[in-house]
Order: sequence, then structure tokens, then C-alpha cells
Amino acid sequence: MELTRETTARAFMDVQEQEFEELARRHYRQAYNLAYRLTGNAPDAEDLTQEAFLRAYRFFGRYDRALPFMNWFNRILTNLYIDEYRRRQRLPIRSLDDPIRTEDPEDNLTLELVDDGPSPEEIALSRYYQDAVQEGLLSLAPEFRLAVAYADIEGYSYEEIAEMMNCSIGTVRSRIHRGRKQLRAYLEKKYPELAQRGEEE
Amino acid sequence: MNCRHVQAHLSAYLDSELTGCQQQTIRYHINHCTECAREYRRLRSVKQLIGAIPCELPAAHCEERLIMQIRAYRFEMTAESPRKSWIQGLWPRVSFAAAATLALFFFASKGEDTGNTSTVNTLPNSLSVLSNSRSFQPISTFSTQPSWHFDSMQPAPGVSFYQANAWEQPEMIQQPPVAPIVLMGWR
Repeated sequence: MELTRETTARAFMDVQEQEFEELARRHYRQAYNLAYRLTGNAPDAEDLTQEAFLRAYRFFGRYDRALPFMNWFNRILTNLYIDEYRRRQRLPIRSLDDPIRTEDPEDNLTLELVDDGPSPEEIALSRYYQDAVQEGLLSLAPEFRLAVAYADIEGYSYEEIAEMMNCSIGTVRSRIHRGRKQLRAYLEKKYPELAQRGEEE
Repeated sequence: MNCRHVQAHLSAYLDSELTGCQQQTIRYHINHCTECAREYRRLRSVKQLIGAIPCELPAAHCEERLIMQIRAYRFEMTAESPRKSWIQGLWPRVSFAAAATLALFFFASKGEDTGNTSTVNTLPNSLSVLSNSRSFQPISTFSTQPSWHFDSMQPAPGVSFYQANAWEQPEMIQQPPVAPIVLMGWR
């Protein structure tokens, strides 16, 4: 039953539509991961990813096949994210889905981080570490957050990031640099033991 | 190159985004300046920390929901195209024409079948049927005299068989549907 419905749906799609669905399936996870790092929670990440894919679908006719799909897609995601961020800044309401972060994170962390030195792998895998870095990312201005995420999570070159963020390479360079420095300062202030460990080796 | 200049380029150096010459200059400086070397390690550790966060996986249903959304959007788009909107605009016309046809047939059959009763009575009866479309029996007839004798299952005297069985009139099925076409032409 499910199969026939699927094949019927496919029969009515043209080549471009099939191509888009394939691309969406292939890149959904990557896009979601980035959206999650940018928004910091699952519902907003889902919304952002979905909105971006729908918009990409709408403008799929303008997609230049010479570019990798994600480079083009991230441009849409960037615009959407910045717009949404600005909109929320104007609105006095905060999303109910935003995670509530306690002022003093020591309370729930003592269990996970023992003092006799976990290995770097253990740090990387611990939820504590992830939350700390995520929190640091969210403390950045959206442009810095995007630039740092593109460079350090996705590993794009400055040129590609400039393309995605519609700005000059010089701007990208300064955003990444300042973003990293701010993130570093945040971690040093709030999670000194994590920052300490990261600096060793 | 002074320290301030070097430190401004450390991120780009870390990402190998400088020209070969600049990369070499900064590498040389870092090897000789402890302060800049320390700053470099700090930036590198941030990059590593961010890069080491494991991938956040979406909930299982998310991907499918996206595909469904795309298809729903596509459906909406095709429905809004001119050709489809004409089809959509057609449906009210068709239903209107069908309703009007039924009403016409009803009038016509009333006129034929209740030939023995006065034609003056026919019109109000039919109208009352139209106004109360769930009951096929004219309300006025029903209230003054019963159209059925329920014990014998026969029409009451003075009420024609077809009037009592308005839903079984054969003419309604046999007559060709000319009226919808005419009505559609009007609009």
C-alpha cells in the first residue's frame, strides 16, 4: 500500500521535482545539524531546516548546477536565519522551546565531569561539553555564529562562506576571528576547566 | 610584522586562508613569540572544540515530514496555476447547475403527474419541497391530509402515487441533462 502510494506520487513528479526530493533527503541531516547548532533546540532547528528546504524548493529553478547544492542551500538558510533572528529580537516574546539555562551550571555537572581527567574523547562525547560549546555559540551575535559554524562545523572555505553570507572575504575573516575569540572568552569565563583542557596538548 | 598584526591574522592562519608568504611569516613569528603562540593555541582549541561536537540527529519523522511538506506545497502550487483554477471555478457551477436541473425536473414532473389536481396547487407544493429539501413530501399536503395510509401502504386518496413517492420518479433519471450546459453557458 505504502509502496504503491509512493510510486504513484513519483509517477506524477517531473525530473526536477524528483531531483529536489533526492537532494533534500541526502542533505537533510547536515542541514539539521547546522540549524541545531544555530538555534540550540530541536523544534526551532526543525522549523528552520524545513523552511529553508521549502524556500529552496520554490527557487530551485534558479539553482546553478555548477555549485554544490549545500553551498546554494546555505545561502537561503543564512538569509532565513538572520531574518528570523531579527524578527524575534523585535518581538518581546521568547520561544517557549528555548532551553532554560541555569545561571550556575555547576549543579548538574559535577556528576559528569570528574576531576581525575577524562580523555579528550570523553570530553568530546560528554553532553556537558556539547552543551557548553553550544551555549557559547548561542552567546555570539548571529553573524559571528553563522561564520564560525560554517567554518568550524561544516569546514567551508572563507570564499564559500562569503558567498553564503553575501559579504566580502574580509568580513568573513573578521567575523570568524572575533567569533572564536568571543566564544573562547565565554568558555574561559563560564567553563574554565573545559577551556583549560582544550588548550593543553 | 608586530604582534598585534599577527594576532589579527591568527584565525585565517589557522584555517590556512592566507597566502603562502603570509602563512610563513606568521609561522615564523609564532615560533619566536610566546604570547602570540599562546593566543594561537587558544584559537586552535576553540576551533577543535567546536569541530568535535558530534552531529545532532533529527527525530526520525522529520525527514519524511519535510518530503510531505514539499509535496503539499507542490500540490498547492499546481492548484493555483490558471488551468487548475478554471477547473476549480467550474465545480460551483456544476453543482449549481445540477441543483437547478433537479429543481426543474421536479417542477416539470409535478406538472405532468398531478394533472388531475389543480395546477395552482402544484407550484406552492413544489416550492415547499424545495425549501425543505430533506422531506420529499409537500409539507402543506402532509399537514392537512396524510399522503400515505400506513396500514395499507397505499397513497392517500387525492394524492398521486408519484407525489407520494417523489424520490422514485423515473423521469428524473431518464431525461438527458441539458440544463447544466445551458446554465454554465450563462455564467
